[in-house]
Amino acid sequence: MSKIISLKNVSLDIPIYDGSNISIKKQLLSYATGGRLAMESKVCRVQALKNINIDINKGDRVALLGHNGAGKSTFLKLLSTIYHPTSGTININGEVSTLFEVGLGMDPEMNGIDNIITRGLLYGLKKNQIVAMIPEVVDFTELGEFINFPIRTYSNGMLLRLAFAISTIVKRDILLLDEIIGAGDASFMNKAEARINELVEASDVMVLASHSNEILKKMCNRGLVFRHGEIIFDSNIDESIDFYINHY
Amino acid sequence: MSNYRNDFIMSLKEYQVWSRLGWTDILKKYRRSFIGPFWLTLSTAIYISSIGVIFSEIFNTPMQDYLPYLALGLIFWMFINQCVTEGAEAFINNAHYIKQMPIKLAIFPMQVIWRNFIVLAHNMVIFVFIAILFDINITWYSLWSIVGIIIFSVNVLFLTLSLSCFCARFRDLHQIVLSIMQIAFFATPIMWNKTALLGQRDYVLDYNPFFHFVELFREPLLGGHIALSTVSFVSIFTVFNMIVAAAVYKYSFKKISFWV
Repeated sequence: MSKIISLKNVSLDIPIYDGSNISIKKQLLSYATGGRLAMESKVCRVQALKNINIDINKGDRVALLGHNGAGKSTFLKLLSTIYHPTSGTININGEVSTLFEVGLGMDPEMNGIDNIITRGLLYGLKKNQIVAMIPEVVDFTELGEFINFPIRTYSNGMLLRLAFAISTIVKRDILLLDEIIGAGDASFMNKAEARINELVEASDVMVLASHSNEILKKMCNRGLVFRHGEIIFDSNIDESIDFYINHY
Repeated sequence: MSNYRNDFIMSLKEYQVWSRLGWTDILKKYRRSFIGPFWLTLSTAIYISSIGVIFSEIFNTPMQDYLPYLALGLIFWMFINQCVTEGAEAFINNAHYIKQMPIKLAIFPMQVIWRNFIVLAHNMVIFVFIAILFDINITWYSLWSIVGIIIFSVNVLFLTLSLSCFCARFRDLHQIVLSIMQIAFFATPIMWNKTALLGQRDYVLDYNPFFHFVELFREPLLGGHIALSTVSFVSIFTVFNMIVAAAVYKYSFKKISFWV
């Protein structure tokens, strides 16, 4: 088994910026007046992840379990290098693709094809690669002629199908998913599931955060239970879900 | 693995991303209009001709001297101003991307500069008309103004890289940037002739980077020559600018996703 992701003593503090400490005027004033005001403008920090030590190996399908705010999403953002650790080291061997927010960066004024191209570029594909993929993506969305219409004319269901198809065009070694289960008609949900499974098959490592134990059980083989930013349990998926249910 | 230098270089390489984002920004604005992006040209043309008529009277300068000077100055100032003020918000405006997907950060200032370069290209149509109208002599030396655009673009990229970091951390800074640019407009010889200030308060021109960048662009097209003082100022400014940007970006890079 080869290590794909390895975290050593990783902690992450997230600074919380509010009213006064995002103002340069107040910052400068607090330097000038010193003392009490300076104390007030100190940035408050939330310890989002504490002392995480974990290795994720090839073939692991990892489920993240935990309450809201336990650190699941933050952990995913750390793996995807959106956040950088406050202390500790992270080693990632392989290219990462993420699926956190399906509708990200969709432009209502542009048509379906243009949206596919823009999103593909943002995911790091080259333009000719994307153009080659378009027929397959359009086929998946079942939008037909609508693909050439501005997407502001789409219904919610159509938007979801397009967004989902666009979000799943890249296949990479490491796949990070966060609450990807959306609404849609039943036949599309089956297709969506099949497509996700395809992506998972193609990846070396998959990490999934979800509140649906049923989905986690179906898709994962390893479970991590988070509490207050720490991993308190790490085992196979069935034991982890049992632990999670019994302790909460 | 993912550090600030890597981010910058990879962003440059992903020119397909920022050029597309910049171009679709323009399309979005003018998609449902008949003449498309040439609305930009038209509104700038109206702006320039009205100011041209009024101020050539006020300054008592003949139109054929004043209008080309004003047109080039204003067109380039619009480029400068938009690059700086929009560039300063590059990270804040793209917070949704920065927080939701692994993405190169420096593509956002590049997007802003590319978008405004397209606007500049559209506005240059006005100068072509003026050049024909007033029979302005275009020589090989005029090509230096293209070099001027490139030198400014490189500089404004580093400048907005620092500014957008600061503006992401301190949200009221953008208002200050707007005010500074407003004052800079009046302190830069665009509406008025630079000779009017010669000999008195030279420092307004000598230490005004915007003046030197406008000169780099405007002088070659008006048949003048770029002064040695401008070349040396711009060289020193560029080096200084790059050092500051490298330091600021290095410090900020890993914190930007918390700031936005």
